[in-house]
Amino acid sequence: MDELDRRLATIARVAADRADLPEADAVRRRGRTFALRRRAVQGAGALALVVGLAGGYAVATDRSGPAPVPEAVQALAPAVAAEPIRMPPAQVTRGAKGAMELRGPTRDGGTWSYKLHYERGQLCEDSELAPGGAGGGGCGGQSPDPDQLNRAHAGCSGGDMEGDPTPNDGAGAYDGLITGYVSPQAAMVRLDLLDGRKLLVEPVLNEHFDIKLFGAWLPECVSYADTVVLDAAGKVIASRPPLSTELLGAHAQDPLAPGLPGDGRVELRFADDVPSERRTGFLQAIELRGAELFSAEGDNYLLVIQITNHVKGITDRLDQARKAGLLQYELTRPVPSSAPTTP
Amino acid sequence: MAADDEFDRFYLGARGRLVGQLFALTGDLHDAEDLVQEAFARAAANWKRIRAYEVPEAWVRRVAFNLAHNRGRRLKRHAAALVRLGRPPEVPPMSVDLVALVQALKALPTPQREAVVLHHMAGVPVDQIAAQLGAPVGTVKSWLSRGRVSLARRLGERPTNALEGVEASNG
Repeated sequence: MDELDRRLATIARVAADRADLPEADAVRRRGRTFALRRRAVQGAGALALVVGLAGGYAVATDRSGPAPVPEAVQALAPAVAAEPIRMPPAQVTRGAKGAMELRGPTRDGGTWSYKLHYERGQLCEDSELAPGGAGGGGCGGQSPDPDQLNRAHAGCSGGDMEGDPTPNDGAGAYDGLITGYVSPQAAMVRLDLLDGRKLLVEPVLNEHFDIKLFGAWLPECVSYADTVVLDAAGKVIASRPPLSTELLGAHAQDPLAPGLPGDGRVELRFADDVPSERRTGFLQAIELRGAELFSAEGDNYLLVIQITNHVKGITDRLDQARKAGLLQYELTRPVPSSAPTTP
Repeated sequence: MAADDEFDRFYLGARGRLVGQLFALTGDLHDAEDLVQEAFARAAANWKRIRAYEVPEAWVRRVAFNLAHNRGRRLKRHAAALVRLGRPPEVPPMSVDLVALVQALKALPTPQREAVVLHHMAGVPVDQIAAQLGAPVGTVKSWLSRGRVSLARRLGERPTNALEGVEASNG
């Protein structure tokens, strides 16, 4: 070890000593949150995609395979989805001081749950898919956040993981969970999905907080839903998009994320005979390799690559598709700022 | 639960090392904390799979490095954190000597800095760095050599044989 190594080791030790890191249980909790929120952000990307696909049935296709699912959920196929679909009621457990849990079945004997509960004196809101433990939520304050009222939180788990050295294009089963709370006057909550399907969920009153809770599980990756709250006469009393849409500043026609100088950009155009389902699947595969959908206009898509190490995996996949006649593409800004260069 | 306990032990054992490495990479302790937390959270979300890896710490480091690249998201997250938490507490200043080294590291081109941190701080062999950064082994050796020379110059030291340690540790 020379002098430089010693000084680097000192830096590392000093930084580690000064670091203010949370306890392990907090990191585990954040991990559960991450599993769902990650998909919520991807859902906003799907929003832009749907605009480009002119309403075709593309996003939120059922990728779950033959797993047994509740009868009502099986009715979600687009061919029969012209009318709103009534979701099965949840089991309800009530606790002290407004604590409350909704539960329901998923696949293979699993369960979903959505609960309000207290932890260390704070009100917590948690959604969870089990087995697997993926979920989201958070704690804060003594009462439900008004900004979250009449908004659905949609997220899903399953598929691939950023940072995985061997991406599998998102193959595998997905679970989607849509939860939230609405005004006490609500008799029914309608969840409008991106592909035009509408789900009806009956909310459950929480007298302590004067709100109603709802939850719905789907055997697919549905990560975006607009919330329409209906009273007993069927009149709309509230209608709100997901909070994530506002946080991202992403209206349907707006870019998902601002491009930065140095980002790689892929301009892509599918062949005319590539159906919308396949376009969606392909774009999701590219996103899982590290690209982000930036905009969609007709048959033209713009994707951004912010991480240098993802470029090769993405272009390899694009080259395969181009050889197969599925698309044409151009890497319009091929060298992100941190790209390795050969001296 | 056994898996939770195992994750907790892994986290407590590795977090300090990774913060040190990310601090050297980013030059900012709060960024390093943020990136390491985020990477560990992702590991927690997929612990059943990641625990089977031979070196889970390498996976977390790789994710944290990838996240460090993703400056756009990092800035957005930082802004969101500031709104939620207010400004982070000031960290007491380091010694002049260490500050100089941090500044010298920050002055290196990103590939050189990554290679130096991975090799000299994390002990990652050159061939694995090459695979991680998507560059030929010879290029990584060149980055390490140039990085060490550049650091030595900036710190007012006489450059040592830059490739000596690289060759030895790469077998």
